[in-house]
Order: sequence, then structure tokens, then C-alpha cells
Amino acid sequence: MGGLSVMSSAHAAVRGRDGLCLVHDRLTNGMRACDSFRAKEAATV
Amino acid sequence: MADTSGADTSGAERTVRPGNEDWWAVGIGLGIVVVALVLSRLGLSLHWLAVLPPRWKTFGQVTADLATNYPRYIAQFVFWAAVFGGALSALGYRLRDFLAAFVPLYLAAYVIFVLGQWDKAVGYNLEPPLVALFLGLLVANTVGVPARLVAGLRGELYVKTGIVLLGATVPLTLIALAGPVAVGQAAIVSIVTFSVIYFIAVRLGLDRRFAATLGVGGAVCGVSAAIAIAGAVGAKRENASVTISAVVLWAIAMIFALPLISRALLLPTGVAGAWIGTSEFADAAGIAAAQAYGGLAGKVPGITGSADQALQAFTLMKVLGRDVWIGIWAVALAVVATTRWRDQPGTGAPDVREIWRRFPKFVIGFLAASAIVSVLTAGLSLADYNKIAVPAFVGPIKDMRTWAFIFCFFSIGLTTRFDQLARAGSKPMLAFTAGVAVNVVLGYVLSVYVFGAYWQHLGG
Repeated sequence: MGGLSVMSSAHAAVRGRDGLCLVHDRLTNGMRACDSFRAKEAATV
Repeated sequence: MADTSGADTSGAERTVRPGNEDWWAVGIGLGIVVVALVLSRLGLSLHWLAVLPPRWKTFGQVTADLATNYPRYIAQFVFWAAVFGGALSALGYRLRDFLAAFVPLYLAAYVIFVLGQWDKAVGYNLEPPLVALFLGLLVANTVGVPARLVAGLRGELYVKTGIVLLGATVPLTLIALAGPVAVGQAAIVSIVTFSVIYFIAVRLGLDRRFAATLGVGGAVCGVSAAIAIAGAVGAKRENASVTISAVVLWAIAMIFALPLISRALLLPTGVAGAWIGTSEFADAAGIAAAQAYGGLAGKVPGITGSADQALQAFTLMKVLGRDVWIGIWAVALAVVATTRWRDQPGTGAPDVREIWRRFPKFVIGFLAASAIVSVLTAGLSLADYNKIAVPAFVGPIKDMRTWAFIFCFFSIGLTTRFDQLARAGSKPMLAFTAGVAVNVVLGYVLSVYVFGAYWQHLGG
């Protein structure tokens, strides 16, 4: 993600459990799984 | 879901690494404080390790110091390499990559330190933080820095360690008395700044999630806040990247602008520190600006106060007044995003536990360092504090802190590649800049006129 390494904020506590949803190209705090994620899980099972 | 931290996850399956850099900064900082205190109790001192280049008029003084004290500088380098290298290794970075960056970083920090100790440095505007930043920017944006060396350029880790060490020089009573003022002033500026950026961004047609990310990026704590809020409200990746660009550009600009304007206005150091605390957009950048201005105390006629007052006022305002509230912003905006805005896949659910998860843990180290030293020096008069505590442990802790900050300043410059920043576009920059303008003016009015007398006599 552009600029993430600037001032090295990647590992800060304020990030919490943030991550990047590669399906929708959105940042997420990981507190809720979207329908696409659940569908993928079901497919692999 | 992709890990956006940038740590090395290639090769074997990635394992969970312990902690985040905040806790490592707490551990390193408090470790130094405790060791300094233990040594002083044993009749020894950390002073030997906390070596500094001396103030000098002729360069021969520098070479003489180096000839005499090179074992101390080597020991200090080994110490810093061990503690920071260990932390970054635990966070997933290769030790050899860290060392490849830290060796030149330490050498550059030494040179910048020497420059700052020159008795004519102030006359030529050679404030070490600004010199370090400028040189770093020049190198990064011309010859470039190999990507793997980013492992050693950990501006946030260094500045957080420095802030924990700063806590050892801030009495707990000062935090208790000044904290509420800092929180109140910062709350006014943060809420107004967020509101201006958010409503202008929405008026310009930007998505509400994008507007919220921009708003908190300007109002709270910069790059980390932008990513945190983007995650809380489910903003697009490009929106977070654009916000980071806006934050970084303005943070870099303010490192130079705020000290220059403060110097032109001959602001007392505590007042300037408070203003920088409300109007800077990143901790690392703010410490650079505060240290640059604080270094003018006693050297530029008309600038009253002490160097420490600038740092203390900045830390109280930025860290206690703004940073610690990021979790509440994240939860509140997550609630708004899920209940009032059109739902988007991936929008995070609000969770009050996020307030603790996102709490900047290094603040705990700052408060703990203050508490430890305050308790141990409670029975001392000011005269005894200066005669006993300062040479025994406070002075060496301060010196180690200065090194940590210089590592930070150079790292900021070396990691700021303008070509890596996302193109911000006119609308986001317009909204963000409007917020900056209001922030700077409001922050100035509150720091100088409303609470000016308070900040000017901080700790007095």
C-alpha cells in the first residue's frame, strides 16, 4: 500500500488487527467476515 | 486477508510474531530507565554508555573526544543494535537487513550530533532534526535506499522508545496537572479539524468513508490513524493510500514550517511545543519539530523557556491529548459506518474492545517511566534533584533519548519516497488542506492566547 513504510507505521498498536480484503480491495478491522469470505470457506470445506 | 505490515513473510509459512513495536518500545525504554536506576543505586552510572559528542568550537575537540571515547561509542552502538535488532527480529525483519541499515544510520546520527554541538550551528540554522530530515529526504529521493534497508529505518520504533525515555524527565505531578489541559485543548482542535475535513470532503463529492479517513488522519495521529480508521469504516485501499500521502506531505512541511514561524514570532518553547502538538500529523515528525525549536532555547535572543519544555508540551498535547483517543474514534466511526452509511462488504463491526486494542501502548511506558522516577525522587528538593538525580540517572537517560530521537529523524527522511506516495488528487488535498489551515490557526490561538500562560510556565 502506497506510503505504508513512511515513518514505519505498519507495526503500531493503533493498527489493531487491521488487514486488507483482497477481494474487495478494502481495509477491514477483521471484526466481521463478509459474505464473500464465508462463501469461499464453504467452498473449500 | 493480506498482512499490510511489510515484514518478511516469504518462504516458510509465517508464524505469529510476539507483540507490536509499541510494547518493544516500552520494554527497551523502561529497561534503560531501570538499568540506569539500578546502576545509580550501586554507586555506578549509565553515563559511560550514554556518551555524546561534546560541544565544540574547533574540530580538534571532536577528534580528541573520538580518540578518547571510541570504546564508549562502539559499546553504545552494540547496545542499540542489540536492543533494536532483537525487537525487529521478533517483529519479522531479518537481522542482517536491520544491521545493514543501522550501521550507516548510527554513523550518520553521530555526524548530525556533532554538527548540532557546534557552537555556530544555530547561527547557520543547522538544527540537527531538520538537517537529519533534509539529508534523509535528499538521499531517499535521489540515489534511493534499497528496500531491504527499511528494516533498520524504524522511525516510529525509535521515537516511541524516545518518548518512553522522555517520561523519565516528566514529573508525574506535571502530567496530572497538565494532562487535562492538553486533553481539553487537543479535543477542541481535533473535533474541529475532523469536522472541517469531513464536511468539505463530502461536499466535494468524496465517499463518506474516505472523508472520515481523511478527517481522522488530520485530526488525530497521522498515518497510523488513517489506516486504523480506514479499517474501522471499511474504506478502499486507495483511499487509505491517498490519506497517507496527504498526511505525510503536510507532516514533512510542518516539521520545517512550525519551528520557522515559531522562531519568527519568538514563541516560548512550551507554547511552541503545544502548538506543534496540535498541528503536527505524526509523532515522529512532531518530535523533530519540537526538538528543533527547543534547541533554540538559550541560543536565540528572545526565545524563552527550555528545550525540555518544548518536548514535554508537545508530548502532552500530541500523545496524551490526541493519540490515546484513536480507539474511541475508531469505535465511534465504525458505529456510524455500520448504522448510518450504506453498507459495504468488509466494513468492520464496532467493538468496544477496539479502544484497548488500538490504544498506543507506548504511552503506558511513558507514564510508567514518569511514575518510577517521580516516586524515587519524591523526597528530593530541586537543588538535590539537580545535584544528585540528574548526574546519576536522569542525565544519562536524557542522553540516550537524544540518540533515539536522532535515529528517528534520519529514518523519517530516508523512508519518505515521494514517488511512492499515491497521487492525492485535488479534492482530497483541498479538503485536507482546509483542515490543516483551520487546525494551524486554531492551534495557534489556543496555544498562544487561551492557554499561553500555562504552556509558557510548564513545569515551573
